[in-house]
Amino acid sequence: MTSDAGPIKTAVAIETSALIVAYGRADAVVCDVSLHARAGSITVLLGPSGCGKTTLLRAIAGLERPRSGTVRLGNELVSGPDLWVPPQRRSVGMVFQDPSLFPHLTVASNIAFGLRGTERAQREARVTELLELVEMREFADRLPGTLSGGQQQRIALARSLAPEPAVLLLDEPFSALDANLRTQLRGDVARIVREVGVTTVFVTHDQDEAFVMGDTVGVMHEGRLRQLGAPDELYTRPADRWVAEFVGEANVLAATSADGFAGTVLGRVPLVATAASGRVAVLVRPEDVTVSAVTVSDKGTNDKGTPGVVEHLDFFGHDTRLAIRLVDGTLVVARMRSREGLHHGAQVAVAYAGGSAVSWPVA
Amino acid sequence: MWRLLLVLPIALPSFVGTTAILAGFTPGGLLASLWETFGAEPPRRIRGLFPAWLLLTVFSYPFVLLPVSARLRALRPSLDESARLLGASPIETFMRVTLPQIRAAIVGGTLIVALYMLSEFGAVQLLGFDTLTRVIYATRQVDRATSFMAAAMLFAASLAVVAIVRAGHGRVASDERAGTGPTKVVRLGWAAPFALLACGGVVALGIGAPISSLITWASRGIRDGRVQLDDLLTPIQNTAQVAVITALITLIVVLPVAISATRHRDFAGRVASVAIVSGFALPAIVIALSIAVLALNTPALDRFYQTMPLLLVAYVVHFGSQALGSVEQGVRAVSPALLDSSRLLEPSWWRRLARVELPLMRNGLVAGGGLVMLAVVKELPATLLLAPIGFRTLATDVWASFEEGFLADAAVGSLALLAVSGALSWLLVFRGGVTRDV
Repeated sequence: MTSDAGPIKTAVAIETSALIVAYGRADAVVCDVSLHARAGSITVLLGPSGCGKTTLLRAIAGLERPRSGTVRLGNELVSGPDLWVPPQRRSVGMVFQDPSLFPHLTVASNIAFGLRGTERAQREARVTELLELVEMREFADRLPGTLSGGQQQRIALARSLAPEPAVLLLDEPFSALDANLRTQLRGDVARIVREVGVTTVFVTHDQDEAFVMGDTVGVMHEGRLRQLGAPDELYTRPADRWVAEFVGEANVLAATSADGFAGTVLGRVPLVATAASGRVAVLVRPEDVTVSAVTVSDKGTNDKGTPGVVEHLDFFGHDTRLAIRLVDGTLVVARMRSREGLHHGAQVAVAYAGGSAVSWPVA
Repeated sequence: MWRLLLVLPIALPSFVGTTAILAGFTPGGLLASLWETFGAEPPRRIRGLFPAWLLLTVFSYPFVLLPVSARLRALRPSLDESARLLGASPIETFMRVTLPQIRAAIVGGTLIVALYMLSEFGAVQLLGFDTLTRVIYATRQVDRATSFMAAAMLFAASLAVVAIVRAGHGRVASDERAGTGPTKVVRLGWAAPFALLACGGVVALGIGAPISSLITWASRGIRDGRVQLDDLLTPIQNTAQVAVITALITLIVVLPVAISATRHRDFAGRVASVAIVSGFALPAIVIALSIAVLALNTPALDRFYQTMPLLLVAYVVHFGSQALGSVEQGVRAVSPALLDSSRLLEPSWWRRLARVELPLMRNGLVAGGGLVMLAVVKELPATLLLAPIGFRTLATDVWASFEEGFLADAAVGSLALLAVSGALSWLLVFRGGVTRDV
C-alpha cells in the first residue's frame, strides 16, 4: 500500500531531563527521569503497571505538569521552571488505552477534528489519505460506537496523525484487545509509524511488544528509568538483576570471578570485558543452557556437565522449557529445541553454552 | 460537601419554599429584618413573574444538576485530553466535545423541570402569578367551562413536553460507558471565589433563606404559645397513613405491569406501562379535576366524591410512574436462570413469588414505594380538591395556615413536612441511588 501521509518533515527529538512528576502532595510517580528519543525513532517505555511510564508519557504530552525538570521537543523547551506549554500548543499526537474517539462524531469528523483552520477540500483529502493509511476507507461515515475495539484504535491513530504532529505518544493502545488482534495491530502500527516517520514513544507492560516495536527500549521501575538501550542490549546486557528478570526469564547464579571468568555451578562462564572480580551474580539465559540425558555408560563421569534431575517440563512445540534441580540444590531453567530423552524425573547433565555473560558484583 | 448542599433544594416542595420566603418577608419576618439591617426597604409585595421565576428556578434546578453532573462524572477524561492534544483550547474543547456529550442530560433534566412547572400549583398560587393551574383551581366550582378549557390546554401542553422528551431519546449518539480511573480535580485558582459565591448564593436562596425563615417563625410561635404542637399530630398521622396506603396500593398495581413489561415484553404490558407513565405527565390538578367531575356526574360514583378511595385513586394514577422505574429494576434483579431453577424446585407459583421473587425484588419495591410516599407527602392540589372534608394532611395544613395568615402554624407544619420529606429523600436519593424515569 502506498500513501502520501508521510514522511513528516518536522520529526523532532524528545528529551526530558531530571523530570519529576507527582500527583498532589504524594511521593513522586516519576523520579528524576532523563530520556532521549532520537528524531523519527520508536522508543518504548516498558515496565510493570504503576511504574510511572504512563505518567511520564502524559508529562511529555502536557497533560501533567511536572514538579521539576525539563521537557524539550526538538529545540523547543515545552516544560521547565516557570514555563509550561499547554497540550494544545505542543504538536503532540496521542492514542490512549481506552478508545477515546468522540462518540458524537463520525469517523471522518473524528479524524478531521484536529484539522481546524485548513480549507475544506484540503481537509477532506487529508482525511481520505489517513483512512487509507489505516486501511479503513469504507468506514468514513460510521459512528465510533459501531466499530470494534481494534478498528477504534486504528481511527484514533489516524486522528492523532492528522495534524502532522512532531511527536506521537501511544499509551498501551492494544491492552484492551485480544491476543491475536493485538499481534496484528502491533505490526500495522509499527509499519504506519515508520512510514510516516514521526518520533514515537510507546508505552507497554508487555516485553514482547517492547522488543518488537522499539528501536530503543527504556525499562522503568518504581518511577525511575532503570535502563535505556536497544532491545538486544537490554536482553543480553541488562544493567541490573531486576531488569534482567523483567525482560526475560533469567538464571542468576552466584559465582566468584577472576580473570574474565566466573566459576559457577555450571562450570566456567566467560564474562564480558567490564566484569568486576570477586563475588558476583552471573546472568545465564535459559537458551544458553544445554541439557543432555545421562545414559548408563556416562555414569560416574562429569564431562557432559553438572548432574541434575528434571523437576518440571513444559513442551511448547517449538521448544521445551525445563526446570532442573542441580546436585547442590540450585534450580536452573533451560530451553531446548529437542526434548529427546528428557522427561520428568530424568537424570541429566547441565552445561553452559553461551557467549560472554553479564555479571553484577554482590555486596 | 457542595455536591450534597447543591442537591438539597430537591427535598423542599416548592410551595413550602415559597411559603417560607413569603413569610420571611412579612413585617417581623427574618428576611425583612435582614433587609432592614442593611438599611433597605423590604419589598412589600412579592408577586408576579419575576419572583415566581426566581424561586421556582432555585427550587427545581437540581433536576437538571443531578443528571448533568452524573454524566460529567462518567465522561472519560481521555476524550477531553484527546481534544486538547488535537489543538483545541479549553473553551473549544468544552464546546466541541464536552457539550455534545452532556446535551442529552441537559435536555432531559430541562424537560422534567418543564413538566413540573406546567403542573406547578402551590408556588404560583401563593405568588399570585396566573398560570393554567391557578385558573383551574379558581374556576373549578363557579365556571366549569373555563376550568375544563384550562385543564385541556394544560393536558395538551404536557403531552407536547412528553413528546419532545420521547423524540429526544436516542437521537443523540452518546457513549454511556463510564470513565476509567479517577477524575482529576481541577484547581480553580482566580475563579474559585466566584464559583464559591455562585454556589453559595444558590444554596442560600434555595435552602438557607427558606429554612431559617421557617425556623424563626416556628420558634416564635412555639415560644408565645400560639402554636400547639399537638395540633400537628392529626395531620402527621393522616399524612403517614395516606402515604403508606398509597405506596402499598401503587406497588400492587405496578408490580404486575412491571413484570409483564420487563419479563414478557408483550403489547399489553407495554401499553399499561405507558399508561402509568403518562399519569405522571398529567398535572395533578388535571387528574384531580377529571376524577372529581367523573365522580360527581356518575350516579353510582357520586357518593365517593371527597372520600378516601377517590383520593387514593388519584394518587395511584398520578404517582404510579414514580414507582415503575424502581420496581422494574427490582424485577430485573431476578434473573431468568434463577426463575427456571426455582420453577424446578418449587411447583407452587405463589410460594415461588413469596420465597424467591419478592425477597430478590425487595430493594426495588422498597425504593419504588418510598418514592411514592415522598411524592404523596409533598402533594398539594389533588389533596385540596379530593380529600374528604376535614381531612388534614401536612401539606394542606401548611397551605391553609398560610392562606389564613397564621405564619407560625404554617412554619411549624412546613418544618414537619420538610423533616419527613428530607428523611425520605435522604434514604432514597442519596443512600439508595434511585434513578427515576419520566
